[in-house]
Amino acid sequence: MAKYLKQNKVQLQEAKDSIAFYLQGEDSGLEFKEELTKMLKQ
Amino acid sequence: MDSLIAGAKKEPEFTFIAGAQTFGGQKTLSLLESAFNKKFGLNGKIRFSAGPEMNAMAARVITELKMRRQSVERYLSRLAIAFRFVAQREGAGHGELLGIFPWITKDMEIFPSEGLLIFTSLRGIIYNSKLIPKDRAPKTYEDLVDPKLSPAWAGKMAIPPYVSWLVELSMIWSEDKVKNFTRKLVALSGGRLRYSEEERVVSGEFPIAANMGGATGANVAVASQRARRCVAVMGSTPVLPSYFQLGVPKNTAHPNLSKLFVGFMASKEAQAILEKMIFALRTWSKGRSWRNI
Repeated sequence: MAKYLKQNKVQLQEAKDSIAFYLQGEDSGLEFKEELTKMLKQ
Repeated sequence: MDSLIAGAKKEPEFTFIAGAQTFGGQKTLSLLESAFNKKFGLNGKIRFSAGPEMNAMAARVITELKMRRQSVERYLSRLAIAFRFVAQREGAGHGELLGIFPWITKDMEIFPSEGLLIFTSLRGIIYNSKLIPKDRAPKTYEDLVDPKLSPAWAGKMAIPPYVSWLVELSMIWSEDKVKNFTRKLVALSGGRLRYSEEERVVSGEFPIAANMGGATGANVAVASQRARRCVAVMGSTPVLPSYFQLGVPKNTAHPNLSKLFVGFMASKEAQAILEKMIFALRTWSKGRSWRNI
């Protein structure tokens, strides 16, 4: 996998950024999540 | 570590709860069990149990902790997000591992003492190359809804039943762009596919899946067995990966065996099994951490 990432110059989203984003949006992002959930159910 | 091993010898078995294929299923768990016992001179039994999706699992652990019930789960192996959620609210984690296991380094912990990073899985698009030629294949998530390319999979594309990958896309796209993309995606979809169901793309039931957990793993593992029918594409830059961590609920019935197993999963032996079986990104790599790869 390490070789794959290096050869393909794959950039990863940092774990801390990803988690922080999700937790921050836990309350404020509810409406957005609900909207997406409704769309997926269609 | 000696006291952990001594304690673990009095705890003959434990239950490992994870997604059905998250750790490669029963076959991989059997290999891990043998290597674990060999490394520490144990004769422990891992009882593997396929658990619910990560948010439901996090809620279950929190409820058990609140009720002060002994946890039926010895491990919580879930995405970093759910893990952080539990750790922040109720104090689950693995405790101090640094210094006990010589192979564990600081950068294997996203948040100290909460969870140990075991592997990183890349998500992306997968498609059947017999049904979609390479020159007509998508190169990004945006291509999935491109009117010039999408007729090839309109009404036949599989999409995940989960919303989290779309929410995470808003880290790199605006919310409006994500909503617009989702509307178009749903209109073009022909069914739902859970992560680890890539066989249904290989078989041709679906020509393409808009997002698949462990896409590169699926690409290599499945394609090598099935004449390279399955191709994976990283849909975004940066790629939005899943960071899988292990930890131990504080109310575990087997604290020594649990902690020992968490430490073991970051060892060379366990990482070699995971890499072979599920093509996971190793948390160790000759002194380089996953961050520096």
